[in-house]
Amino acid sequence: MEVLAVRWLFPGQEVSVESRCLDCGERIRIRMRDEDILEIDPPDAVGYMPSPFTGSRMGSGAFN
Amino acid sequence: MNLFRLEEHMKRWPLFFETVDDYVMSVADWGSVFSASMFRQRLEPDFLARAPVYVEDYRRALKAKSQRTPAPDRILSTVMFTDIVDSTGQAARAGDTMWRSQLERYNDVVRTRLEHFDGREVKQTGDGFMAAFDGPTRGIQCASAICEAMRGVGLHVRAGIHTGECEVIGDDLSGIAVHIAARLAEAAAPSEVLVSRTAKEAVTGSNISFDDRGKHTFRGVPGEWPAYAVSA
Repeated sequence: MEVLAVRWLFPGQEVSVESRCLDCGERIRIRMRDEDILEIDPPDAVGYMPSPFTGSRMGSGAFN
Repeated sequence: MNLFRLEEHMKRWPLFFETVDDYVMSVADWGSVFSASMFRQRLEPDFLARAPVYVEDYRRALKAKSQRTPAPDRILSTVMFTDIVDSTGQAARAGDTMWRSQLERYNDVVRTRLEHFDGREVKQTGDGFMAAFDGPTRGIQCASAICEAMRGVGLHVRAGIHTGECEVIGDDLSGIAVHIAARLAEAAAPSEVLVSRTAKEAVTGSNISFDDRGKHTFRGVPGEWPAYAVSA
């Protein structure tokens, strides 16, 4: 989640984040500015996050 | 958030099956759920007091956007194929009336044994049956019982058994595991039950014994496949 959260710290500025695919280790790049996601490379990238409302997995949710 | 270049990469992830109940979306959709304005709310002085409201907002946003990756319709199953050996020749020798009677007997025997060994008839394949079991022991016992019963009435049946992941399509199963079981049945000798190494190793300790039948190559299936015949 933090990869997308970081943009609100830089209002009006373009923020670029480079990460790695958890499976293959290849690069994933996301460019953002405020509410806009300017680029996702590769465009089919997906994100997985445990549900913050799942009791058994409390502690790994979005509000931590 | 864990990022993957493609959905297939996520499915290869070792923990995928533990996490599939949770949220999976494209990065673009996550971007709209976790909007900048949503995070800026944290700077508001009454953020903590209003947290329950934000949680509801967040829950609604997730619900609206979430396109959960469907759970993979794959299950681990033991697949059994049975086949009448040289059915055309046997039909010619028996004559139409006798052959019809033998086929009815065959169908009855298969369905009775499937019921006894908790198997599920998936479909009929010409003169054969495709069935699924929760485990290979019952599948092997069922196939052996079918072959033995039919040998008693002069009809040679052969069977192939493999345990592996299958794709579930309605009541049907498909995938390489199904093909392997079918090819094993084709390769079996009359009244023989031929199983894959996977099925054989899975029943270690069950007192079922096997004879090595060497390695086989199966049409449409990559690699060589050791096969084992169930011993009497």
